[in-house]
Amino acid sequence: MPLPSTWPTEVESSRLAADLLAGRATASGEIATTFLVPLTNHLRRRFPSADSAQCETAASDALLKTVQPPIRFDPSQLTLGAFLRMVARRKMATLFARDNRHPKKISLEFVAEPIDHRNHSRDDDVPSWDDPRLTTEAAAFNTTETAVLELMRRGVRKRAAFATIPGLAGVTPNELAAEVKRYKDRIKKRLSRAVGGDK
Amino acid sequence: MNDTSLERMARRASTDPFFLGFRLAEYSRVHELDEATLAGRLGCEAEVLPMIRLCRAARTDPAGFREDVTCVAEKFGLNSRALAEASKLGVVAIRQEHASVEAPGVLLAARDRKDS
Repeated sequence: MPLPSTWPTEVESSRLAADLLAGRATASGEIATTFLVPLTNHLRRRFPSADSAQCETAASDALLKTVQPPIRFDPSQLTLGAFLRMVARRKMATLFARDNRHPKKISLEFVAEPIDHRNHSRDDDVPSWDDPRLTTEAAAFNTTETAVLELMRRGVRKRAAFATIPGLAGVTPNELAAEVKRYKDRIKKRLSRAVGGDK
Repeated sequence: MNDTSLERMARRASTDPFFLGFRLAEYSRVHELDEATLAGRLGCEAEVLPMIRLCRAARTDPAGFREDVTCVAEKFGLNSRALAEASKLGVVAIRQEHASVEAPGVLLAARDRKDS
């Protein structure tokens, strides 16, 4: 029996949410069958580096958790679909964190400066920024680090660009060069550690 | 992947007393039923079982139990008497499990007899 692969309509979603909140015995089964495939597909798109089994497990975890008391879903805050996507993404982060206990070496070429601006292209097998370990680590950066990382990701090397960053402005060219290098080294180190490399 | 992913999810749910699958698994185990036989007793096709397993288990109070069994039976066109029978067995099993865990006096008495 094929399961629906698209998100339910707003009306259908509201009905399922109402059934869940009313404690209807069939609500959990209906929600599971309605949302399992679209939720799994959402995770696959959102986390392209994750394998299918991880996405399916996270989607199942999210569904099984959401339909059980205590019901944390509040229809005045989010639709049922949006709530499930949020829970499922957190489950994915948990799965990634669990995998991170057994770290594997991942190339950090994606944050390294291009050796030559000409003919530079991104390597396709580098880790994705969908990896929650990277995004979590980057989210903890201060304003200056965030701005430096952004320029690094864009491949910007001109010092003048870095001189506009709050925290790096108003210093001599030599001091700026040293500061930029220090920030870049620190960022690379932190991101490397976040994905389990450079212990 | 659709059906198998739902089956996998239903199997996981069947280890959790919150879900109807838990009671159906207990019923199948006691009566040594395979999927097809269980589906036959409930009056449905075997492919519908994962969806039934993912429903909430019937409440244990008489009115709630009747309402929940009727709700699931009507939704999937099941034999409500058979579904009630399968769910009741689970209720007894869960009560027995809780009794053995929650009644320390029973455990103490058993130990006393063993020690003497």
